[in-house]
Amino acid sequence: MRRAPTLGTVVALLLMGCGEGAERAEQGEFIPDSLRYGGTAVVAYHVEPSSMNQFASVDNISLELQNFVLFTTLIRYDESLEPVPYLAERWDTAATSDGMALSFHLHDDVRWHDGRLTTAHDVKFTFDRIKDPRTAFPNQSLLALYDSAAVQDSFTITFYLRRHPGFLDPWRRISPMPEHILGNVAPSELGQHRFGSESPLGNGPFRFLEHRSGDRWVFEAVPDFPQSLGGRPYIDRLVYRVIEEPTTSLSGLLAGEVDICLSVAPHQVAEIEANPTTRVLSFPALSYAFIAWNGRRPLFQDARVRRALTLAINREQIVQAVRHGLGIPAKGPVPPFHWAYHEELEPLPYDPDSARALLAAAGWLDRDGDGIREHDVIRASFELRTHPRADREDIMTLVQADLAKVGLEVRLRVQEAQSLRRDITSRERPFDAFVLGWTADFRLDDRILFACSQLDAPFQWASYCNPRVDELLDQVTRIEDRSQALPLWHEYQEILQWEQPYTFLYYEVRPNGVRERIRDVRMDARGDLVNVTDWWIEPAARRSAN
Amino acid sequence: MTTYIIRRLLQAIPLLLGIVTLVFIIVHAAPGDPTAMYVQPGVSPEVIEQMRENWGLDRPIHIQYLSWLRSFLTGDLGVSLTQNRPIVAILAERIPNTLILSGASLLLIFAIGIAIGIVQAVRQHSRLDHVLTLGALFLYSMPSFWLGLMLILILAYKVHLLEWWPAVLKFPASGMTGVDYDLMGGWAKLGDRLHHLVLPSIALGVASAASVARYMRSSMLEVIRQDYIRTARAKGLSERTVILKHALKNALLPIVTLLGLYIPFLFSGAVLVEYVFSWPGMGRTMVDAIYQRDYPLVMATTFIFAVFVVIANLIADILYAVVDPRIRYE
Repeated sequence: MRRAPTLGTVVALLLMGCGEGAERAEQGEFIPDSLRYGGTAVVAYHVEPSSMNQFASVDNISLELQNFVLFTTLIRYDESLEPVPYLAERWDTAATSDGMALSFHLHDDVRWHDGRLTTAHDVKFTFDRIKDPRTAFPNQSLLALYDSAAVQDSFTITFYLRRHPGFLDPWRRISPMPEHILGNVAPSELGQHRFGSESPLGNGPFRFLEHRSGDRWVFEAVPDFPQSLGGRPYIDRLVYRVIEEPTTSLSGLLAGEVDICLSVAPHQVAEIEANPTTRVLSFPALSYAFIAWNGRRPLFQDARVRRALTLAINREQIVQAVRHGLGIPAKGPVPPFHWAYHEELEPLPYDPDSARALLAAAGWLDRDGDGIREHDVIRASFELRTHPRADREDIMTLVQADLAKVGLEVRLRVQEAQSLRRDITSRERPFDAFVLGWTADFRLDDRILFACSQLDAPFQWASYCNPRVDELLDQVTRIEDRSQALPLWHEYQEILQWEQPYTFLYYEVRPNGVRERIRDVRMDARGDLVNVTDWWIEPAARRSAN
Repeated sequence: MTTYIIRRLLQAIPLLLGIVTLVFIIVHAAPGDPTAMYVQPGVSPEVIEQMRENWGLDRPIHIQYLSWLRSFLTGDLGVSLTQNRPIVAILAERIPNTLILSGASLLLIFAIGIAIGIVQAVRQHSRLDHVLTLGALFLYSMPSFWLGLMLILILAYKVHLLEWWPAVLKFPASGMTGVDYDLMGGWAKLGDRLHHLVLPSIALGVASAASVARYMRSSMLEVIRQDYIRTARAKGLSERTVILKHALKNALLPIVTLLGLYIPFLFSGAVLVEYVFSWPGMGRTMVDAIYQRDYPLVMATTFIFAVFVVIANLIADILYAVVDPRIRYE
């Protein structure tokens, strides 16, 4: 241990000769705030963060490390997903002739880790680079409705934008980058600048210490991180480790090498819960699993057939078998914790008899008695694909069995991820159906999935087109008042339920394994690291260096 | 000998060029490209196009190849498209890790393999010989990744639940160094590294050790039936001297050539073992690079592996000459 809170604890640790001896301390025991500082927390996940550079990365874990650990976003979401101040201490809006002006007033005491103050110029720099096409910032569309930015004074910046719901949302997702470090880098070289993986300089609660590729990222608490942004984190060091093999990370967690294991496999949950030194924290995540039916295929053109497919698939069983219960049978593309979720909508039940009736009504009958239905000369037989991943492959097997019971033949194909991606995103849509996952966003915009205008775009997998759905999806992106938008969202979910362009399988519940010695860990759809500055480690259960 | 080595190295140049060219063609022929991981909702096709342009992927493939070859020949390996850093820096970090792991395994393979082989040959057809043969076959047939997982499960997890189990035999499940490595003193650092090395090098080496033992046994058996061994025994030398001094050197001859065979084998095995033990080595780098279509990194890592294999073969040939004075390279 590098910095112990009291001499007494150090002596106690030395006497015990090990770092985790007192791990099974009473859970209810009260530890005063002053004793909570210190220790190293080790987080393990199977993904290597691509970069600490906002301009380059799109993967989730990079974003979390950027926005919760190394940098500061202008705003954050609180637990009820309402925007709250963070780097910006407040904001105000004003109407302009063609839209609105949004001004952020930044805290004047947040420093880059080299000592320089974070100012509105950094925010402006970041905004300009994002808008610059040469940067090739992957998520440019976040700021599509933002036109320009103007620095008012060192700590005030005003954006001019067109009015739209969720206009604050980009700012919980984008952390300003340091202009004094990256200002002179050509925009086209920003993404690959060594800043991202060798020398990131942040302004957040932790500073960058070390990166060993394929192994770990190490961050260290910033002692004078401003109180107004939450103050110094309790833990001294945060070590992010890349462990790809799930059995290895589970062993690490159970043996105490790892403190938090992100996204453990559902079948590992029971073992983690059975161990007295570890617990499972699970929460409904933003992602859901689905089957996309290619609407250009004759078999999937009729909504009755698609509805029959969903009725014939036992989704509850899939959740139990594949996710060990860690999932919520899905009824549409809106996740349950989202404000637009349709509570009253009854999900389609598992009902093979109705499925058979619907298939017959749509003209799919087994006339030759081989157990497979036909319509004219077309057999009800199709290829279901996915990429190599155990849970998705299991889903396919269950779906195959369920659909065989109602007279459909499913051929299974597991395809390398990139080659599958090429097939499903190509204009010709050379596939029948596939199982994949999709990650929704807090600011939902499903046009990319289901709008007629997107029929040739990479993500309109169902080739689904309904003018009313188009209308609804367009309107909900314009109405700022949620109570006015809600009925439209409900209608959208009802239509999708009836027409089933996808079979929505389940919303994912994400289980994370946590050692008991790490206290006050909260995780939800905002992220695994959302309250990393509040984590603390029982003094008697900290690792000792030697 | 020197001219021989130089000639061999010169011969390796067209071979290596052929390899990288072939790899270039194969990896570019595979579906997808490095921008694929950015193809997500919210990422417009224009952005993807801009990335391609920034990375030079919009040019015709032969131009890409020539431009890659030009910088490659001048020693510029380029920048990784997934890790966003110079490939030289990545290799400098990763190559030593793989060498440490395969070096440790190699030691283990030959030390254990040779020792067991000798014991078996000397005690041919004894019960010990049969048990060791069975054990060797058992280990030889075990896939390294599965053995790795079992080692982790037992020696990195289950034994942690036992109070009486000595701490030094409770091994870490993954990585090269402990979490607090940077805060340790010199000896503790060394101990920590060795501790992390044990399980992966066993997982990587044990199957080959078993096969070395088989080779060693038969090679030794052949040698001790020869006349000069009978002569040595007739002189009244102790059995120990006969075996270790007279028989061993000749029996080792075919074993030494195995070295050249095992090194490529170790590198390919390292891919799986590095994955299982989260060892930050070249194997994992290469596999990740292939999956993500990180073209420059795929090229660099395959090139390095090819160089290793060429060098390993050369070393084997040289050792052959060293061990057997009858062999002369001109």
